Amino acid sequence: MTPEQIITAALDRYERVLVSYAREITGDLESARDAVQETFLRLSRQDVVALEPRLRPWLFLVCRNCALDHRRKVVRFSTEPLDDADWVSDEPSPPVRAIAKEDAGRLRELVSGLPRQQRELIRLKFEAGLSYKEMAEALRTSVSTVGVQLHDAIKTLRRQWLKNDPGMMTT
Amino acid sequence: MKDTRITAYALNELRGDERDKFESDLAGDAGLQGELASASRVADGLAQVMSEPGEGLEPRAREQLLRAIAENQQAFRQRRKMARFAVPVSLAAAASIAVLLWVSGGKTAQAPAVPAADGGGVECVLSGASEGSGEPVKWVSASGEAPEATTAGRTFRLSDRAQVLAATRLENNISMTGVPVRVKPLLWDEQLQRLGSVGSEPP
Repeated sequence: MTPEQIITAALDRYERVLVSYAREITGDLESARDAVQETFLRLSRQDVVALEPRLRPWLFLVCRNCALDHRRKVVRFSTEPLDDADWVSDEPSPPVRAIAKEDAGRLRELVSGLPRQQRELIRLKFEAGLSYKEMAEALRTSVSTVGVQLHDAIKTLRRQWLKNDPGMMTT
Repeated sequence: MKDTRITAYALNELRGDERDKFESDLAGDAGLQGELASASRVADGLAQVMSEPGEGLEPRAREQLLRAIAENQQAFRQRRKMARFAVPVSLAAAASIAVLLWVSGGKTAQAPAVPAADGGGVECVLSGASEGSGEPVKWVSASGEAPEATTAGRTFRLSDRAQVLAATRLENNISMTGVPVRVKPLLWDEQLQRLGSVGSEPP
């Protein structure tokens, strides 16, 4: 594949996932789209062929940085101070609107109630399909930290989602 | 006890010995099996829920992005071509200079120092004779990079200043193939006297 084909294929495959991921960080769709566009512009200035083996974690790492930049720019013009500590706080996000009553809808709602870091990992794993190693690279953390945080997230969801299921053992 | 292996196994992240050990532990532990079953069920549910496509870029923005990507990649290729071309040219130049110095150093004919017409010049001479004519050929170390030059059988270390002078006095058509080119005499540089090796007497 030519470099342009690699980039186009990556855009086709990861565009929506990246927008969704960035939106989790920026809080709004337009900033998320800007962050994703910036991500692919930066990719187009790279040696794409050399980058291809680790393209996926690279995309999420750069997208995350772009989204955080957008978020900080918004904050600069607001009256309330906000630092990165808020990004890693345990506060849940606002509830998703119009939740359906079936299990899938309930599960999605429960995901939105997780701490930000755990929500991010859930998205990277189940929306983007990243491995532990790729997530660690994208988030610049260790594989063991990813494992612990994802385990905590799954454990919380098990407890909440399956609490009324008599066939499941939960802790 | 927090056993992160449960989630890692449910997500197919355990490998090799670690996976084998976990499967061995599973065999005799009903509680562990139950936890794995519930973790797997949550993972399956998340895989379904999170795989629903979300919003993407606006179509017009996407088209503009693709155009910008093509332009950036073209610029990247241009830069790469220039970089690739610059390296061999530099290497060829350095190799030619090295050959020139080596060839001149190997010849036996020595040309005497010739004072410049202005009364202060000493040529930095690399010994040698032009092929065929037998005439002594005098030339300066190319681009002033050579650390030494021989005058009247004696060796000088060129000072930085002398090297700069040498470089600026070089004629423009210095050959890149190592063929000596006649150059103009240098002005006398007192630093030549002070440098480590033996220097010739000033005129």
